[in-house]
Amino acid sequence: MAKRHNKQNSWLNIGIVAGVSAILLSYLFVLDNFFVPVGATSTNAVVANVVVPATCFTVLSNINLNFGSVSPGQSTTVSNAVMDNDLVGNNQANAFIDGTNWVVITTSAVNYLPSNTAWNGVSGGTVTSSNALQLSFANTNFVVGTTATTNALFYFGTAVPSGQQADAYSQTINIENSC
Amino acid sequence: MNGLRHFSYFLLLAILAGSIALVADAQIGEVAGTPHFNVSLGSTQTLNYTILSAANYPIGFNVSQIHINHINNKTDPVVSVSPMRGIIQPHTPVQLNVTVYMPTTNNTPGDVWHGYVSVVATSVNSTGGSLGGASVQAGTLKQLYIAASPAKTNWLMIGGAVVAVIIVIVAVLHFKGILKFGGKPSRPSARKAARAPARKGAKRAPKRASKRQPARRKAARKPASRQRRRRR
Repeated sequence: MAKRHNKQNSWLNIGIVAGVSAILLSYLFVLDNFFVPVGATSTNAVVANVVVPATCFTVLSNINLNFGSVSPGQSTTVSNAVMDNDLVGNNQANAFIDGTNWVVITTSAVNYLPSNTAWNGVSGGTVTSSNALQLSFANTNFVVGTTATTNALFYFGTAVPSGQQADAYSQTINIENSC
Repeated sequence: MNGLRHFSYFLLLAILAGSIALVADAQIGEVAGTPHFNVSLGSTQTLNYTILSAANYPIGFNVSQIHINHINNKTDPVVSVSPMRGIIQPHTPVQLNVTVYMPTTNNTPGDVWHGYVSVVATSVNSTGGSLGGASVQAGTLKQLYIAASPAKTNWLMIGGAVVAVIIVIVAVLHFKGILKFGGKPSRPSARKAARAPARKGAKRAPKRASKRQPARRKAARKPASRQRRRRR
């Protein structure tokens, strides 16, 4: 019993000594912070590293193309324009394009193929002499840079197949820059 | 003076209208670089595809197409993207995980596929209007390069198979009596062979390292001693 009592005492002593030491140490730290010599200067060098990833963006100037009224079997000229630029990004991109089927607006029923829409880099051409839109993406080989002078202009025209019923049709065209 | 003021208002309005027309688009973008997948036959590989928005408002995104150029007499790799849709917060990149599985059927190491993942911005609902027409969506397209590499050696599976074969061999040897565990004969015929000479009083069977044998010998001797007594 006496031995155990001694052990307890020794642990108690160690605890007290440790506690007092910790208090003194923290007190010293506080003092150290308070009593900074006046006029003393210190210089710390901070090295900052940042990696800016190369990015490209797709920004379109026009998102609605209204071809007006086109009779079945007739077509428009390729003149509706969309400007694609990458002014926000820091890396030049290639523009890709695809389109969905033409659907009836009221019922969303698929009606005729996206290839009835044509795109071109220049305006005024015919639908048949321009590039037909496809369901899968096509590389336009248009380079879209990060300056205002290196944007891409898309001109669109459409043809309505013969025998098409009178209705309002819509299509979604995707223009996507890739880098 | 008034005319100049009106002109400046008009100019301001024109600039505002122009800027609205510009921000009306989603300004979706991507981090440059083509992910090169080098996928072992029968396994998968995942790489990140980072998309971002330069708009100062959240925009929605939607993975609209995953496309792989088909090669004749080959099985196309299976490409999946996660998540397929979501929201890009302003100036906060979103990482899409592009996972490619390389089927083993018809494919050999060195086969290469090209493809792409297309992501469109969905926040701006542009419409052709009730009059009809086309709406143009902005998006970003990531081209993929996928190559097939040799199947990885599954050492765990090979090790398991080797252990299984060893167990079968040991079991067969034990059953045939070639390999014995402990001293007990594994087959009844072997036991008979051990007992038979004792009954007939002929030569004993060769000694075996068994704890039970002494007892068996004693049992075998008893009839012999009885025979001697009878002779007397």
